[in-house]
Amino acid sequence: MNTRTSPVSRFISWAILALCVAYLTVPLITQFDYSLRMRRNTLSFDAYSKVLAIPEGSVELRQTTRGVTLKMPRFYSSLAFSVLAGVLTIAFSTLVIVPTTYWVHLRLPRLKPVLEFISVLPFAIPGIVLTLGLLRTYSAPPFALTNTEAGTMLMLVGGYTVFVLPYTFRSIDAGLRAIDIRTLTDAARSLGANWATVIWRVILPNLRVAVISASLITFAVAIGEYALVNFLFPDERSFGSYLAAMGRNKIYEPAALTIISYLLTWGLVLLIQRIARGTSQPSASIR
Amino acid sequence: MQRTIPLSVRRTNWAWLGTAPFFLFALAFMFLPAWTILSGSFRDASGALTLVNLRDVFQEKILAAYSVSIQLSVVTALVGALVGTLLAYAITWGGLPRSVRSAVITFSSVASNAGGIPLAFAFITLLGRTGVMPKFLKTLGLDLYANGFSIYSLTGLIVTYIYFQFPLMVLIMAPAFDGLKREWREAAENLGGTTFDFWRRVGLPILLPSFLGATVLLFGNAFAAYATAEALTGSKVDVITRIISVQIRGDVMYNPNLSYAISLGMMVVLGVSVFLYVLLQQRTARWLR
Amino acid sequence: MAYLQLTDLRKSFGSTVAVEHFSLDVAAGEFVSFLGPSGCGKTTTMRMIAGFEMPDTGRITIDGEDITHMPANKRRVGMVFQSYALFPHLSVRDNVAFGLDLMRMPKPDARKRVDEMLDLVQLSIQADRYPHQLSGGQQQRVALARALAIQPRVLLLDEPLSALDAKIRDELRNEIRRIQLELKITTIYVTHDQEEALALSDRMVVMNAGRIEQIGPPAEIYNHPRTAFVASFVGTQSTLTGALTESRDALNLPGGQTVRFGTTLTHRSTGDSVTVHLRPEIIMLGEGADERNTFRGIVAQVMFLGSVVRLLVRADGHTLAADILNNPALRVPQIGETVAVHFAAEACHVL
Repeated sequence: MNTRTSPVSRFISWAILALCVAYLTVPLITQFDYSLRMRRNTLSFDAYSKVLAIPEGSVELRQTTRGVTLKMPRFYSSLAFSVLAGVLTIAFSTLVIVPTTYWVHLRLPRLKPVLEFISVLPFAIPGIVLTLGLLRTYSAPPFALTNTEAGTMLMLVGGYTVFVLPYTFRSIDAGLRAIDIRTLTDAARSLGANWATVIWRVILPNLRVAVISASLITFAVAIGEYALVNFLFPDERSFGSYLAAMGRNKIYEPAALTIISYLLTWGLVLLIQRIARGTSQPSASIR
Repeated sequence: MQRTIPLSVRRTNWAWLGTAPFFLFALAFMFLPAWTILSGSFRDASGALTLVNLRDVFQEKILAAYSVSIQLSVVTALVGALVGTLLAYAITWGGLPRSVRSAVITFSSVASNAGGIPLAFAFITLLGRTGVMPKFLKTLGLDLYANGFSIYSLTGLIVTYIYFQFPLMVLIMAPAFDGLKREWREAAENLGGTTFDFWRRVGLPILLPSFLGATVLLFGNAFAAYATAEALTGSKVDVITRIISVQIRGDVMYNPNLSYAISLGMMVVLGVSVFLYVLLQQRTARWLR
Repeated sequence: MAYLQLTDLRKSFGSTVAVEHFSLDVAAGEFVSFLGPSGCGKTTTMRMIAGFEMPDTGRITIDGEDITHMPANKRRVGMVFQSYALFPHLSVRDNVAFGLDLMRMPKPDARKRVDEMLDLVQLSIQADRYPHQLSGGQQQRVALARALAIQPRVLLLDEPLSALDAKIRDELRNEIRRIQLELKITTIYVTHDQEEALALSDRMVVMNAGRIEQIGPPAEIYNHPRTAFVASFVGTQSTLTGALTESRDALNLPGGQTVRFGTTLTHRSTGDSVTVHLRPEIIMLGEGADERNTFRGIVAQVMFLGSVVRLLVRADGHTLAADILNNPALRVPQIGETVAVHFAAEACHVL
């Protein structure tokens, strides 16, 4: 079709592209430039070393009443916390979504519209509203989940699973549609596999791409999320809270952190695209 | 025959059981919290049924916040939708090289993803009072801040939100443009139509439901956003999500039941947009089957 | 004088030549099909007539008017696409009216024309349905009505039946021909299905690798293929290759058997390698009279095709396909059985 596009529309296309690319890159370029200006009158990576430095003695294992904890500079500890939350969310949402979606595809296709409906509901529940609802439902008795570390984490992981549900569900649903699960299941069953074997050795491997791309989206959300984690863990131990605190207190470090977190996102997006080559699926957004 | 009946009943029960993990999760993390908010909206502090909370939503400060959020969402959704659609057109039908297309898609994924706090930082650096752009324009004799512009304002939020809105539109509309078959264009041409006729009578009408659906999604995306506004404008601009966050934190006008009612209002607005979105999606799916 | 005239067309995409040396004269009201394997250039040629591709060199005229460089939307050449290409947001009626709207035909006239067209393709009842509510066959009828509504000077059909089920395909095939004869419209039909081309066409153009192999009426193409490609592409055939005898009216197979053919190859010399092509319907079961060629062999396969039963007989290292007309009393040989087959020398086609 390229050959039949008129020169005028091609010119307009280039112009639109140039404007949009400018809008997308100028803030990043100026931010990068700013992040290099911590030292007066010269460009330096000082802001980055401030953020990323691991001073001697800043890493130690400590015995506390809660058990052994690892102390690290805040950049690393907060990132580690959010990565942990991300990993737990990936495990939780895979466990919650894959078996049920598989089962519905296989045996209860009538329920498909119900699943689809539930999976778009998170669009109607803003993060801050879900935060309020979760806190008011589970922080008081009879649940009192916020009283324990594990309970609070469960709330966080459950909330994150809701945030990413529209994307994870769609990804896994599309994955299941793409493979003929009925035939695969029948074939595995006829070869003597039990249900656990079918899911673990036949279905999951075939859903690898779908699960991994859903996981990376989940990861991006877990690292950038602010509202829920900040209210559940007011000690600001998440990456989002750390970023917000730096923004309030520092001048050049936030600029360096912007660049670092964009690079993290770039890495994740490129990974997603490498894995789901060719399919362009909209990804989740964190605000 | 008689034996098959109880067998099939038992089988059905078991089949429903297979859906338990998901429905338990949905119950615990979506429906129960939503129920807390819904039921709390109609109760007072002692738990008695009341409509006071709903009435209290209509106080000036809260209505103003709703209004700011809706303005912000409508403007950024419309601008984002238009710009995003143009860019989606450019990379699909505009005759740009294939490599440009994949680069734009990647960049759009990043931009629609990497919102939140870092985005606010970047725009403060660019457009803040002592930012790069105001300084530069001052050398040209234009003082942005003296002329009423501020990044810490509704305008500032609009400029910032557009950064993640139009890329999201690109991600939705690029596949929609791909869905327009080359044969439709050739058929239109074959029947005597010009390129303009094709877009006016075929291309745009077919894209319209996708466009409207995506615009609604963008509206909801901005309406529900919180972190960017918190990091950028904080207390200078009250968007509705910030009002709720202040309520959770238990500051000045702490009243849990009122915060339920405010949240309910948000869910109603977003519920309507999700409904519209699903409706429009279905229409597109039917056409492009 | 020819109504549609294609003169020495050539089209290349990058370094690959899609079509070259393509010349064809089509008379008014004639039904001509382009037949060939995929990638042979038949679709490209049709797209040049429609104006979707511009030829590198050559000329296209309709009724004396040179349209080689005319934009597609000015040509008034109707086209039916393989994928139907109906506009999904328009009803059947609006799809058919699309071209008339663009011509700014007055509403009442357009309405009348649309009704006529829907009547012609027998879809009047479905006029207010949408494409996604119709079956594939019905959609293709709408596409046909839409192309015919603008009263095109030439009708182009690009593999219109290949997305349809076998039964619908036959039905619609007959319908296309009926409508074409009724409207006396000059038609080009692109297909890779030889049966379709043989059944429908006044004349066929068999193409291969961007070039015309042979042009002629179906019977001529089938009975007297001029090249080995045409012989093998159109219809089923068996081949026997051997050395030309001294009398130059027979060949000796490597196994020693002699095959006589009706003609004398005066322009070939003794010992030349020669191939005879045999259609399955000329090979008969049983011993033939003396002047006929008789082979003995073993039945390798039996295929029941309905009106005929096709036997594959392995004889002397060759496989011969023989069709015997079916009738309920027929005793079909079994696989592994030894049989004799024979065919007339005159029926051999030598290339």
